[in-house]
Amino acid sequence: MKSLKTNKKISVIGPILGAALLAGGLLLALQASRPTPVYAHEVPSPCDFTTGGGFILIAPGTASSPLAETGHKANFGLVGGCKNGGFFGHVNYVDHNNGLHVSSDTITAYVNPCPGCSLPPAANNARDICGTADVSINGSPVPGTWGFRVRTIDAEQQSSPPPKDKFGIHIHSLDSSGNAGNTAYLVPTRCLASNSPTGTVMTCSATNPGGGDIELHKHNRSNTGPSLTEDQISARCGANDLGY
Amino acid sequence: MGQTKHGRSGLVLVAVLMAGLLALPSTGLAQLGGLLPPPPTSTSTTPTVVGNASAAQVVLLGLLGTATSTSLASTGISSANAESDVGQDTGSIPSLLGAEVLNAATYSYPDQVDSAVSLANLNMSVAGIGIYADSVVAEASQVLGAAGSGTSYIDNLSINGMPVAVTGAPNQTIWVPGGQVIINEQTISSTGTAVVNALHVAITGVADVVIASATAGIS
Repeated sequence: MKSLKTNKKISVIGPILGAALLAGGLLLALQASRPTPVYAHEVPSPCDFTTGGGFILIAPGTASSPLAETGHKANFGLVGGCKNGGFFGHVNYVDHNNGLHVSSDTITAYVNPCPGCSLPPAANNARDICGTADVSINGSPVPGTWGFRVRTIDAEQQSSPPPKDKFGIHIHSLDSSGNAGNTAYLVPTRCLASNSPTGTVMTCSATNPGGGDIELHKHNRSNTGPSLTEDQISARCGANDLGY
Repeated sequence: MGQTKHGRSGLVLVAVLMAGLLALPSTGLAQLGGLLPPPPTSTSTTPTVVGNASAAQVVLLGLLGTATSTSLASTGISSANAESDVGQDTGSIPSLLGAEVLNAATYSYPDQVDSAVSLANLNMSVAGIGIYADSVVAEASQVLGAAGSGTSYIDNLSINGMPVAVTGAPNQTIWVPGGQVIINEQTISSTGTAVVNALHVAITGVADVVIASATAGIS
């Protein structure tokens, strides 16, 4: 197993995450103030697939968007993976802090964001599902073309007693070529039912009452997906890493 | 309507019947793999596959014995090496239930079938009995030649406003006026097909409602 140190590491120093137009002409500016490590991503080979559903909590100050963060739930349901040379799946996400709905059945990438990683815990069970999405707030479609990256971590397979599974999401604009642009909404990865990001080592094993489940299903030679370069993955998934 | 009348008369009774079964909100988890002997290995080169996942399956019974069936976020496959999935931000059956992020998928390999289904913010009223859960998940899997297995997860389940302690055991049953609620209902067929229903509400003469049902079979 490769350690984290052997993975490609890139520093994305950004005063930018940019501005994006959300509902009703709302101007969204999100700024990254410190370097963000981004590790090599790859389509699993042989590939696998992930299913999940549940909820997280978003306490004030634990996400990045111009939308309200009030400690309420955000619910999600998802499927992503490879089959017959392509990607498949869907993502549905409803944030009750602000009425945001994200709905997608167009999956453009399914990747392991930390292949071979033994740390952070369960990182090798992380899978990112990326695609294009319809975005609305309180039922009103948000103008523009939007993409997303969802991070799932099936942490329960890694330890005994099992830690909680994890989920994170960001939404970004897409240019006319379908390449990821500015981030409009970012909820760093956190344990299911948790209200704060996990950082790099937190397993949330004792602090959360539940919140659903994420299941990383086994790989198999029948699970074949496209081969994507790192650049292609970044274009489809956006530059922001979501943490573990 | 009979449903409303039935529920009103049963509120107090439900509380009494469930008094010994209720506790703080909890998460339910149970597995039923390996409790039954493995089915015989198929001798056919083309396996028989069944994969189904459904967020809600509802049968409403009418006064004259009629039955009306409805489902939400339902999908299925019947061959190896196939995949099908469906998702919805919200879903509802008027006057019966509403839920969010309904999600169902079933996936087959040459020698395995996996099915999974989930939904959140379940808010249901059957014959006046209110049922709520923050999150409901069911998963089922069968590997060719072995008995299937299944798991369900239910977070913060309440019935008529009272928290229900989900034990994690298969087929936990709570009696309610006119019927029952089965939590983590699991069955394994003679060929090893696993059926997992996270919640099954059956009210005699009124309705049969299954929330989060996952089926996986290959033989």
